[in-house]
Amino acid sequence: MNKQKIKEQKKKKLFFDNFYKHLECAKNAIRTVSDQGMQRAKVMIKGPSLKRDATLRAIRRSGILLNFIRVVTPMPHNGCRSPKKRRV
Amino acid sequence: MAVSKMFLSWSWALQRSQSHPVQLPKTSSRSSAVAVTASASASARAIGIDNDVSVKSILYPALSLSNILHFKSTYNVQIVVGEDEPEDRIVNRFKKEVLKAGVLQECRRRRFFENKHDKIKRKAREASRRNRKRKPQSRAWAQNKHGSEKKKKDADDDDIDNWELPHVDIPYT
Repeated sequence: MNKQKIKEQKKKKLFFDNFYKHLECAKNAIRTVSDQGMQRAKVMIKGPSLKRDATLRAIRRSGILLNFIRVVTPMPHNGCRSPKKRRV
Repeated sequence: MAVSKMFLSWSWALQRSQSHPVQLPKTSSRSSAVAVTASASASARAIGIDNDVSVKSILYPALSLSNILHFKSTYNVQIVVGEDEPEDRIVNRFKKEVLKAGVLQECRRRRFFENKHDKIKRKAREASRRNRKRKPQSRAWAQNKHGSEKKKKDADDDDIDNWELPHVDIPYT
């Protein structure tokens, strides 16, 4: 019983952290940059994920104008052999 | 051959610097080549180019021109945002573009090794998806064709039902 509760709490914490991590980083950056007087931004997103809506909305809502939004995800190529796929 | 190449580059340099014509010295082939080189460098200095790279580009234009690079785009997806575009529209457009470009599938694929068999399967799947996407109007056409075939089949069945009586005089009444 106690173990189950601890496990559920851990899961909840992980979910919360993952969900709000991007947003908090973006908010901090926006605050710092707005204090220094930036007006326009060029957004470049890196990483294979689509969960950037909150970040984009935050940037947009903070009053900073956007020039463009780019995805600059790096693609591995011509390296050593990747590990084999896990068979479940 | 070397002399002709030198002459070609020299003629190019001559076109480049018509305001400083230099006459070719009339001597034997070896000393002529050496003299051509010396006079070319002299004319380069006269033009005002003191850089070794520029001199080399004048002497060997093909080599310098071949170094021009053609860059590919350094990003996978880009959307240009308007001045007063609403955030919902921005987010939706961005999401749609990312899904269209197929960045997520590619990242997932490159994370693990795939052998020959898996590669063949992936290629086949991609090809079928591409073909399906390429011919959106073929579905309606195929359906229409299917319907017409059905009609033809029904007509044939009606024709070959063999219900008509033969035209023969019957002896009994």
